[in-house]
Amino acid sequence: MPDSETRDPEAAPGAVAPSDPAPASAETAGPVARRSVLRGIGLAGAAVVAAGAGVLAYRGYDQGVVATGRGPAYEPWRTWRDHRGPAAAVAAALLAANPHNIQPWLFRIAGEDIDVYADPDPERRIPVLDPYDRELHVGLGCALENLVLAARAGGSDPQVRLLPDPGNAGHVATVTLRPGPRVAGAEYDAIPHRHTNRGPYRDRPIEDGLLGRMRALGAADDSGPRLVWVTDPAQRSAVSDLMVRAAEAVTADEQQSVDGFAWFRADWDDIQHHRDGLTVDAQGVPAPVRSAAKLLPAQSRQAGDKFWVAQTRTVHTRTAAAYGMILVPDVNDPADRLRGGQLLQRLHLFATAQGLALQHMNQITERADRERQAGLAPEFGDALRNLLDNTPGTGAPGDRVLVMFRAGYPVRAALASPRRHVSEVLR
Amino acid sequence: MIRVAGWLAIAGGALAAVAGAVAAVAGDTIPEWTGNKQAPELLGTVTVGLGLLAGACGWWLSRAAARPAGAPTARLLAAAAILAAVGVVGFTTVGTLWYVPGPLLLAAAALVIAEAARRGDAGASLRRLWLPMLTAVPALGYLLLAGTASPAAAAAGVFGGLAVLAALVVRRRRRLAYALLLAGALPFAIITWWSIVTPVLAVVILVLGHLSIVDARRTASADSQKILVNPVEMAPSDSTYQ
Repeated sequence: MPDSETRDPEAAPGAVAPSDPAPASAETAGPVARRSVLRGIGLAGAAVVAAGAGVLAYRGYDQGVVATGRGPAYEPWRTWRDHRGPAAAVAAALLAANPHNIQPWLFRIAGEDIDVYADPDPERRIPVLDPYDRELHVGLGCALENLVLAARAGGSDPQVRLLPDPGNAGHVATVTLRPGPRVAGAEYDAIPHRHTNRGPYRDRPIEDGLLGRMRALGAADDSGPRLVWVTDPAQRSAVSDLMVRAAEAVTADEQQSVDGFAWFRADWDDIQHHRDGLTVDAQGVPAPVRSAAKLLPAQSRQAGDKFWVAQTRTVHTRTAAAYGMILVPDVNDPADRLRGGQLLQRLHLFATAQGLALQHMNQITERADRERQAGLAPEFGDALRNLLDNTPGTGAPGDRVLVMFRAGYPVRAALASPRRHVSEVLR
Repeated sequence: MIRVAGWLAIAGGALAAVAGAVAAVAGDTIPEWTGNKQAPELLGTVTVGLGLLAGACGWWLSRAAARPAGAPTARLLAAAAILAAVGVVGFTTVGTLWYVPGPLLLAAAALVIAEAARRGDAGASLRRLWLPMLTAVPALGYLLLAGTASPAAAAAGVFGGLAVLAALVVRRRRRLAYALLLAGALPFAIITWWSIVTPVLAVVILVLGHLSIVDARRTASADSQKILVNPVEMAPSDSTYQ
């Protein structure tokens, strides 16, 4: 056995530790060599662990695991009050609720007018989920509501004209800002805190008084959009069943599934670059689950569909304290949809100010519109009508359901979705 | 060779700092030069720090080259590891602007490694540095993650990463090293417990850091025994003990 193997591996050439037996022997060489091999294996194992830690750290950095709500895509939520004049109203408008976070809006500031347009970009659509632009107009109505609230907070008296240009259906509104008193209520202050909450809600009913106050935010008569609550346990259960069935039907329809999946952004760089779409952060799952989802490879469309249906069955419907339905005289009239969207946003802001959570649940109306578009049997269209007929207080017989949502007291706060910068939505 | 490596590292570090400053100030207007980053201000600032670190290594190498006894092999290898790490990382922070400082720093690292390899005790020195270098990996991960975290978490992450690196430097002073290790590893992991990443990194830091400290004490003990037995032959291999 070579002499060197009996020496301390740290020893300089020629140095011999006092405890070392001077000459190496066959009896002592074995254990020393074995120890040396074991130490080598240990160091190699440590290297593998360190390399794994390095890869994990980089993955965490690359996927923004500790950067939730940070980066340019989330700046509009923090900087919206920094703008002045009409741009301040636009900065508030782009924080509004909208379908699949496609942000289907453009704005033009011309003197004291702010024109609101549906973005003509065909990419900024969900054509199979929303074939008749129902959700698109509702989203634009939501933006309009924020715009009006911010204009009032800025000392204007906003005059809204819906669909001011009969020759241009994409020009959905013009808001004229006349001087007025500064009015900034709780709803205005709630703008940056309003997020769709897809997490579980507490097992606590919403007080009747609160439900009534929210109902009062809608039209008093049948001339405009109205809110109807579904709180009765039996009826709520029926709506829940319908929601789950509709979610299953959406995922079973490949085109609808693809349409929705196209707006899911799993990559942190994509989120920061595009500043739109649905994200892991906004799914309402517990923080460690959220982190794991970001660290692991992105889910397939099929896996994402399964997750959504499971969440709808076990979280969204099971923990809903109440369902809300916004009714309008004509769901095909863009003006009614815009007004319905304004009411939806007003409700959401009011709910946020009251500590309530709200989640838009569009699967039933998406299926009803899809059935109509594809010439299918109107399973969900009929179910929606039956639901309305069996719900007390629905008022005018001609009214139809424009949108639905669930509400309740949240278990955990909702997180923000990405938003484009003001400069990106100005014409 | 070490003198040349020192100059290269100083030049590379200075250019790296300039590249970082340019990216921080003008990264949005010249994205094709700065790697089209989403947050060029942050990455540019980080790069300035990396450039200063590389420059400091170069300055130390220049001074070490001027000393008659030269630098201990272990420290040369540590300097080479820092220069190589900075030389590689810069390519991901400021894009094309790194095309000059990066190769300069990598060349400096290569020269230092060549000089260390020429010495007879390179293997032993590398074994001595192996565990601290591995522990530095998750510590650098802390610094990387801190760059994206909220202000409070970022402060804990930066402090944590630097404290762990400091613990590795003073690893022969057991109590201080353990104190720095714990103070560095735990706060960031506790604040961001839900991230999964930082608690895992903390465990790796604590395990590898503990092994580094134990190994340093064992090595120090063996070294003192060797010095007692054969001080003449021991002396040239590691000037730390002169």
